[in-house]
Amino acid sequence: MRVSDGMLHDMAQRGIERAREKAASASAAASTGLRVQKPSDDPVAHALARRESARESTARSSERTADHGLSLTAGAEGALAGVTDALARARELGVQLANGTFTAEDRAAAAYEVRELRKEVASLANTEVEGVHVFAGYRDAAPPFDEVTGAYSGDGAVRQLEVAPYLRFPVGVSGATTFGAGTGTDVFATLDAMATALDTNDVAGVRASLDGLDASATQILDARAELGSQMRGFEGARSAAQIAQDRGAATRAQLVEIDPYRAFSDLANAERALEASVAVAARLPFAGLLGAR
Amino acid sequence: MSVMSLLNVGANGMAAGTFGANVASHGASNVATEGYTRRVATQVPLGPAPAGGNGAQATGMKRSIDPFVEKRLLGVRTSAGEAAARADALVTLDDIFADSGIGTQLDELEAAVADVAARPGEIAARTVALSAADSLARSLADAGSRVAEARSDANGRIRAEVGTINQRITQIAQLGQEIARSEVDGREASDLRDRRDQLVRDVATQIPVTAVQQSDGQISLIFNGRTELVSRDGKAHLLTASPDPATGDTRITAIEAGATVDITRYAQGGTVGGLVAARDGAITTAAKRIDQLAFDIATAYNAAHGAGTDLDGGTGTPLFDVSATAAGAAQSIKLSASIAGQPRKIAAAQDAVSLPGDNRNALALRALATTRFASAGTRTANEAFADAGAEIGTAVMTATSDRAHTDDAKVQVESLRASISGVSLDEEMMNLTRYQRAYQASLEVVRVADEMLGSLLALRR
Repeated sequence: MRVSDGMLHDMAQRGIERAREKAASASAAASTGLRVQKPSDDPVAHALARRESARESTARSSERTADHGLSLTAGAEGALAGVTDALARARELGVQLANGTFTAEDRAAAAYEVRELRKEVASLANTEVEGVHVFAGYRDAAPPFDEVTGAYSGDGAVRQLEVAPYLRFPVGVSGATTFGAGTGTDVFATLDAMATALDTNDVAGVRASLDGLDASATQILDARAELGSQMRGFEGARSAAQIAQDRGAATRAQLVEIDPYRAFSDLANAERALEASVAVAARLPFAGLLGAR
Repeated sequence: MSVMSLLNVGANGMAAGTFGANVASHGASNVATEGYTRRVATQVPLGPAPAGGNGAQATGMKRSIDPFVEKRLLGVRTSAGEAAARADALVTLDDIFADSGIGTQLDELEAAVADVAARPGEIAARTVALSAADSLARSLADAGSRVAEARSDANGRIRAEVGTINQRITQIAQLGQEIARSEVDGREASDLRDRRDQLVRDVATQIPVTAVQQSDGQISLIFNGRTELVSRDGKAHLLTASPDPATGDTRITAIEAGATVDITRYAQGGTVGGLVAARDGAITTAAKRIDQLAFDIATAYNAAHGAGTDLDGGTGTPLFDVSATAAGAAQSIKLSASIAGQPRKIAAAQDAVSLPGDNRNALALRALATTRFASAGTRTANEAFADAGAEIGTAVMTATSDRAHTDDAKVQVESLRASISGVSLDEEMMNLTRYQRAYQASLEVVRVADEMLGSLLALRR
């Protein structure tokens, strides 16, 4: 084949252009660690990676939601644990003072303590976690229980949180059923009745109020059991969300990332190719007749 | 037969040698000239034979050219021009669908709505949700306007290309007439032909053309086998590029048999063809996808949001403002004016009596992230975006790989042409030496003739 001078130069020039292009894309991959940066690099991998990113993001916000659920349920559980203790102390007092050997003064002193316990229970029932009154249901902006009358102004609803797509867990328990507002045993009324019986030195009344206390304690324990199972649910959801994020990240990495060893060996190859093509071009023009003169 | 004729032989040889050396030098100095075709000096022996011959006579020069290779070169240039223009026109689309912007904004809106669902009464969470919705709307609008820019860019380029085509065919027609005039004496007008051939090759990069040689040295240039751009009589027939009144897209028209004909769809090659293919193909698809996505998002979120109740008991507030139909939705979408800057208006609740902790509508809004409301109910918004990206990405990838292999094909034919028509300095140096020798030999002939004449004259003394 006849070789013209233009062919030699064009060939050298194209060699350098191609080598530079390869070197540029190899160094971009090596410096970003990404094999796929835009859709055209690998349309399918890019689309799958986008879907993975979306799943990862859903899992991330699910994890945050589960964390929030955990702190709400933990707060409610803590409050109810306090209520259980208060009710236990009240029962202890009740059992003691139902005994005939105590005087009216002793009972009046105990009545004072029971009233203090009632105040404590009322404040626990109005517990606020992260700006939310946990026993108020949806109407959670204000304390749901009147400290004096024990009247309930919440709506007894239980909010749900989404901890995975389409998977919703209830968070917290109804303040109405837990504290017996309009349903079950009214915890505040029970404590009030006991205090009144103690004040009026009504031994039979004190004894009678013990049943109410037992019923109240059971009600609280049921609620705590429910909260306990909710906490386990949120913990499970949180770790599921973490696993989903890790899996998403790993899948995405497989789709769009480049193995660093691969990236750097590609880069080294591209650099060598560029050096070689530049070296070839530098030898032009080959010593022809013109050079021999 | 006389000694005097020997002088003539020498003179003729010197002239032929000078001419040959000239052609070789011309070639050597045009080694880097684009479109230069190597020439070979032609010479014939001068008769009459009975006299022993009159030496060499330079008859002119001939371009070393293979018409079949030239024809193939036009074809590969058309393909390479098409793929390169298409790839260049589409490359900006790729970035729109890269994994940033809309995809990330969709994720962030979902996360922000999830936070509102967890803390419906918190103004901070609502403020974040509003700004996420705003960012999403802006990303969509930005994508919409970038696609529109790509379209108007393609239209502008088509107009510009048609302008250059017209210039070139005018020059081709003029050169054809000059060539016809100067070749009357039978000598090839090599430089004019080179210039014309280069112009034809340039036009072939822009649109599919074939050149038909006429006997008088002119050519007729035919677009896509149907429209004469340069006719047999050496006239140029210009194309017109004008915007379509309905779409604003540039259309190309030609005059065929006295009637104006839209030839846009016949431009299936060259830079013009590439631009038309990009515009009517991937750019149009991208615009449709982005518009549909924006419209679907706005419709779904507005419906879900409007059904809920805000912190002050209000209902029916839209989240996004958008055009009435999908056409142009991307460029029109924005955070609704009736909610912008008013986080309390986010309708997280289902019921006005259960404020502020009611998150039921926020849950419904959040569920939209995993609801297949987009692409006629077949995909989630994120999936629709990802799939549109794959669609456009494939078009860009195809264009890029087309560019690479059509370029390879072009290079192959170009080097074939260079091997036939390109200048080799070694060869020209050899030719230079050859003619130099011929010249020296003829000079020697003159010297010998002179000596012979001298001897002859000395006889008389």
